Amino acid sequence: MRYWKVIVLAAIVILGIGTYYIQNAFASPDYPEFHLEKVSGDEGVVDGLIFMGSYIDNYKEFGEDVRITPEDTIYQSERSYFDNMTEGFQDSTIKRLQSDYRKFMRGKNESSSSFFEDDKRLIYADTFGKESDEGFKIEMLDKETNETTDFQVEIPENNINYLNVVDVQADEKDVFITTRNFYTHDPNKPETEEGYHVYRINIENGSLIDDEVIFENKTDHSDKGWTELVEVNNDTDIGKEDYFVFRLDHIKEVGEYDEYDDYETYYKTESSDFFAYHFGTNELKELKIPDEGLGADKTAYVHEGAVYFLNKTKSGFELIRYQMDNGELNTTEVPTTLDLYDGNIFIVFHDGKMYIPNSSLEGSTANLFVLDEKTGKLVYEGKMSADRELENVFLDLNELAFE
Amino acid sequence: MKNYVKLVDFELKRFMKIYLALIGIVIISQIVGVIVESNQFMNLANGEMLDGSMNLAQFLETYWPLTMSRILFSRWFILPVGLSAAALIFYCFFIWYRDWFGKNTFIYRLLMLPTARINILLAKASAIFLMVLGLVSIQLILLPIENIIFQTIVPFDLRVDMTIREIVNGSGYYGYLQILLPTSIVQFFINYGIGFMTVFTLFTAILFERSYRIKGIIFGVAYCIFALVIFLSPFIIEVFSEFGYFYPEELFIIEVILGIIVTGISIWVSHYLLNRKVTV
Amino acid sequence: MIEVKDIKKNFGLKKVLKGVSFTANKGEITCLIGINGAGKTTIMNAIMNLTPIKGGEILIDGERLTKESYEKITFIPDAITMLPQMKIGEALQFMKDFYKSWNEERAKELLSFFRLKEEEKISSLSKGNTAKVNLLLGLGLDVDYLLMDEPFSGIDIFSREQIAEVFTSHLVEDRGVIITTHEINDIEHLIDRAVLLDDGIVLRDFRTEEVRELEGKSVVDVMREVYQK
Repeated sequence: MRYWKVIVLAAIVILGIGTYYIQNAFASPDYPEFHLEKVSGDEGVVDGLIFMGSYIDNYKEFGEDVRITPEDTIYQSERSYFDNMTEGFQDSTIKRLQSDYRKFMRGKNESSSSFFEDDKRLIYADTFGKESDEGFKIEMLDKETNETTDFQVEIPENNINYLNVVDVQADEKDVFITTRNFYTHDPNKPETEEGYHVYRINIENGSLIDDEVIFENKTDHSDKGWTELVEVNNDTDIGKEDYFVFRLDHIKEVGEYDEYDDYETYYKTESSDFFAYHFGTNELKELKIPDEGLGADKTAYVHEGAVYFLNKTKSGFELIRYQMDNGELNTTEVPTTLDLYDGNIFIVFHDGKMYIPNSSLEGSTANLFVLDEKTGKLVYEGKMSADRELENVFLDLNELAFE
Repeated sequence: MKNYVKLVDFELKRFMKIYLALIGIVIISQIVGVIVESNQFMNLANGEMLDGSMNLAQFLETYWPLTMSRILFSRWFILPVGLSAAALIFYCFFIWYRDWFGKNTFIYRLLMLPTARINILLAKASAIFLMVLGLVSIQLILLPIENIIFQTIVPFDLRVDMTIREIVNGSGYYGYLQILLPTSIVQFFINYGIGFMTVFTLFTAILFERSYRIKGIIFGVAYCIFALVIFLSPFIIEVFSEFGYFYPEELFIIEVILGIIVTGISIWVSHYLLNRKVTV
Repeated sequence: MIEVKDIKKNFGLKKVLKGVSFTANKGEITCLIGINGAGKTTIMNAIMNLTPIKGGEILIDGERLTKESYEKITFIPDAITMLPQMKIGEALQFMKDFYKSWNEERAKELLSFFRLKEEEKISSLSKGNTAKVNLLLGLGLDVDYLLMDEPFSGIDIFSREQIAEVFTSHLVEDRGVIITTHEINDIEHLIDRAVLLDDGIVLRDFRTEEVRELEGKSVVDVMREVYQK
């Protein structure tokens, strides 16, 4: 054979790599199929429900994104390259906006907190300037005429180091941009480091009407502790909200610092104050939410003028609901036969119901609870189960979608 | 075309001894690695369980069952693969310079062949590619063999079996296996396409040096920067304009086109240098 | 006919060729004479397109060199153009693989004339034998023009004789040969034309026969005249 080196090497390449990809194309990987099993309630409420999350196999040391539909469990590696590419990793709100308003969404910052949407308009507000501290650029899409208007508004002389847009709201006349501002400060004295502002901008003439400081966090590090601001409002929801909700955490150092310890064992959030700012009345009120009733992470969910908390109890969990306009506090006991896991838990509001997926930290199981938003009654509970016995495998659900 | 195949064959022949040695090292090291790692694990298991300090369940909880993925993290695997990678990267330079340096002057013969000079470059690039893909294939062929050895030594209770696909998709030798053999065939072509482009760009830089010597080093480096800037231009623009203007699928098409352009320019400039500027 | 027309070349700031012109005919042996650094090798490389030139033109039978030209014109540099790890047989096979004009019979003939064996590795050959293999690689091609760079330098006396013998044989007949040398003694009687170079220019270009017949001078006489001025 004259060119045996080329031929032999090419043969090895085709045999090795070729067969590997041909096999991959024809045989789908032997990953577990998950499906939601009803434990009790009305199966109709989970019709077309899609779970998204990660599948992690600790023994085999790999993880993949997974999407569980009522019919199928689809792993990232089973999907085509282009599907994986275009679906990206953005949240579903951005995904929807991109497919509906492709031209308008081009080049927009991929955070949904910069958007506001109602029936007629889609509004985008973001900062400009070197340290994004000089002002705002605002773009508005008229959904009927499909026309875009845009303008810039400068923030007058200020001591802002940089700022983040945390929420955008609008009425007929004005756009309200809620920002978290970080100030340049003198390191020698304790002083105001950050604060929430609401900038009110007139749509007609594009002028800055008002810069309202709604809360400032005065940090004092001297007393072995400090305070920290945390946004509580739901940032994937870009519709109209009357309130901007945030909390102030009081953090204390506990014990001696040891580099082997976790952050959590060294710093402890002692208490949290919840605040709500009403865009219509410019009023800031402190929410009277009893601290001791809340779970460790104090995660709150805001929807239609109410703040919700989930709390684990002996017989299941309880839903705490705080109505912001009248300060009414309701606690609804949700008895369930299923375990409430320590893993990922969150609330998705959809169609008058609250969908609560809960992943386990200890295995590949997960539960779903569906509550009626008004009554807080459990209307469905289900269990995610795999088609096989799984060991040291985790299913971490982090998003829900509705078909 | 025929001359091109002859030249590829010839280029392979010139590196064959070292290449076979590399393959030999990979095979021996990995097989020894599987045996040693498996046996070490079995010794550990026997030690912990025979003296009664642990039962099977406790042992598995503490040490976890052994997998091929864990074995692939061992030095027996990483070192020979790293050595092969280093050798092939080094050979990208040496494949040219060996023709000029030394007592013989083989470059005279290569340039005086009655064939288009670009064939010389294409043959060198192809030889390197075949050798890279060859090594990757050897790894793919080795994995099932190693799997069998692993299963022979470690009993079922103490191991978790993985398919070849799972091994490749896992974090085997720190994730590099995934770059060499991505799950998606499209990604495979992207990775090796970028590899091809890089090799051609590097070859062009080397030919700049071989044409203009000291000045050529500057030209060569400048050319590499030029190629990099062209290829990454959409991302560079994005950095300056803060946000991504293009949607991912658009960016993909643009990058494919830019990759082809950069490769094309490299080949064209190489063609020009080989015909007009190169000096023995 | 090889026509070299006013070629120029710089190495950095140094001008190596400052406008060199001459022609070499088929069926003749043209000798480029000059001390080391006169630009002889650079001219050879330029003719073969192995180094770029700054100005001027080189034509082979009226045309510029193309890749096909390498079947018609070849160059034997002063070092061997094959890999040292190859055997002589492999080197010959390489030539056969790539050149249509490779004449296997002639190669075999030369091999036995030089008393070389195909199994011998190039790296194990003596200096003289290496030069012979190098010569063989060029002479084995059925080319019209043959360029040789210092074929006699650093070679033992017996090898020199053997190589010189080749020039008078049928192996060289009819071809156009350009040869460079800095010492003329071995081949003075063989050459038809001499081009005397110094410092990148042609000092004198003459037919040896004419000088001998008209002026009664040998090449060495002319050299003495030209270089000692």
